[in-house]
Amino acid sequence: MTTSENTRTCPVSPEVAQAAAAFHLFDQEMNPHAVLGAFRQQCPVARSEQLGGFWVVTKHADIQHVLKNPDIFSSAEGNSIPPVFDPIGTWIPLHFDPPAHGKYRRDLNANFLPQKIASMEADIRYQARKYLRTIVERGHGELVWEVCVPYPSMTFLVMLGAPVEDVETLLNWKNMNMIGMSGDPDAEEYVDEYIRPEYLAYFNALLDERVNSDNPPDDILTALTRANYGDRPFTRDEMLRVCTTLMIAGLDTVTAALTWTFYFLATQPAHRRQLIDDPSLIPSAVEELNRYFGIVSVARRATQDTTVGEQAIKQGDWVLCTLPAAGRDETEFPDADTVDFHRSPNRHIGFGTGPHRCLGIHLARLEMKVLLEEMVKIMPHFELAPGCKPGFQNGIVLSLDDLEIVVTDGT
Amino acid sequence: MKLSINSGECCGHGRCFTFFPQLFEPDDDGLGRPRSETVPAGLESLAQSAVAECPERAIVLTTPA
Repeated sequence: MTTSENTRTCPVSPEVAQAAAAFHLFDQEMNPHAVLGAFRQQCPVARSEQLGGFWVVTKHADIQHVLKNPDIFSSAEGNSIPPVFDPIGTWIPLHFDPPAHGKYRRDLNANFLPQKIASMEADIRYQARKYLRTIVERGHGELVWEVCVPYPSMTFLVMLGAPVEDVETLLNWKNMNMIGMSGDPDAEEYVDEYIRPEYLAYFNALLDERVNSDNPPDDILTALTRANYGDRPFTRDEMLRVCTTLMIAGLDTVTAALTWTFYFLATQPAHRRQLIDDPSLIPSAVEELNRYFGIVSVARRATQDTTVGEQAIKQGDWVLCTLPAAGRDETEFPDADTVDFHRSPNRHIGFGTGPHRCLGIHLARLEMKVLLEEMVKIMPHFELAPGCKPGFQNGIVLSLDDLEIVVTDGT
Repeated sequence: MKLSINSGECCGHGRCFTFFPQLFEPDDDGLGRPRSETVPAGLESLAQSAVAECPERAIVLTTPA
């Protein structure tokens, strides 16, 4: 059932129209880049009839337009399809538009400033070496669970101020939330009733500890207890809604990006050789990998009749911006299907754009840069183990599920 | 050459201060800021590259008349 009486403008083959009508992110059988690429080429604003109906936007310029115009394309009714809300209210700052969005985000930004993130480099490098050495000493390993998951998660927990021994619990809560957002009403209800109260109580206790302490640790949770919305303090309720956002956004995204990065490097020895021969290329490679393997798709709801590209959009229509597709848009990126670590210019929006541009962008970049720097020294040569066939883990965040590798000597 | 950043367009991607630290630095809000209003001699070509690298086309380079 669709809420829009609007029809698709673009002329399109019956096959693509059918694929679009059936499209949703949680289809585990789909090759997301192939499917979204076909839409981008043949029907840049395609129409899905799933989950209440929504437009699928795949071109870089169109996505930039949507995300840079929050007054027309609002996050206030949700930023995923179908929209889900925490029972105590909306997630902060995800579900807010300017000007409220900026007031919530201002004090959060302070914890993620590039200057602040840079001071974490030594600790991050220590972690990178630790995880890679374990694999190298054994001669083989499974990178998703042995590196991609723990490496960014442990750093994030330390930054947040949650005890590191709780990492599996937090990952489980995060995973349950993602399942609860996947369009299954029973799953959403289960998460609402059993999972959300648990993590809210957990964060509440950690916030209490800091409020009651004379000398609280220098972490994000403490910073939250002192954060201001405009000229008044955050309420406890608001702090908890920020914690929810941080848990979901912080424990999933760099992990996902690393699964694509390692898959690419395991299967492309020539690209790996470029980084080994010239590690100064790594920051540019991190940008190029975030272009080619954009991972997140975000939704907005139209507040008025408008257009995206050549498609008329009605007030109330849902619009899904697929960053994985934006990165491979030939209109913006010549030879978009080629990964070129020297690509310049590289105006990708893999970290989003507009006011909701990824809060953790500098942390993500640093984590990826450091991991690759250590990889070229500690584990320069590796390949997929025989029989390893990574599968797509599709959803709001795209990743791969299995990266069994063997360490080689590069000959 | 004069260098400035259109704050209305800047979204804080940080490509300017990450890849062109000779010319840009992050401000207190993490947005880009030119280190100097005037492009130092010899860095004109670098400044032009920086302009091209901003996803929001927020960097403005002008040659005073």
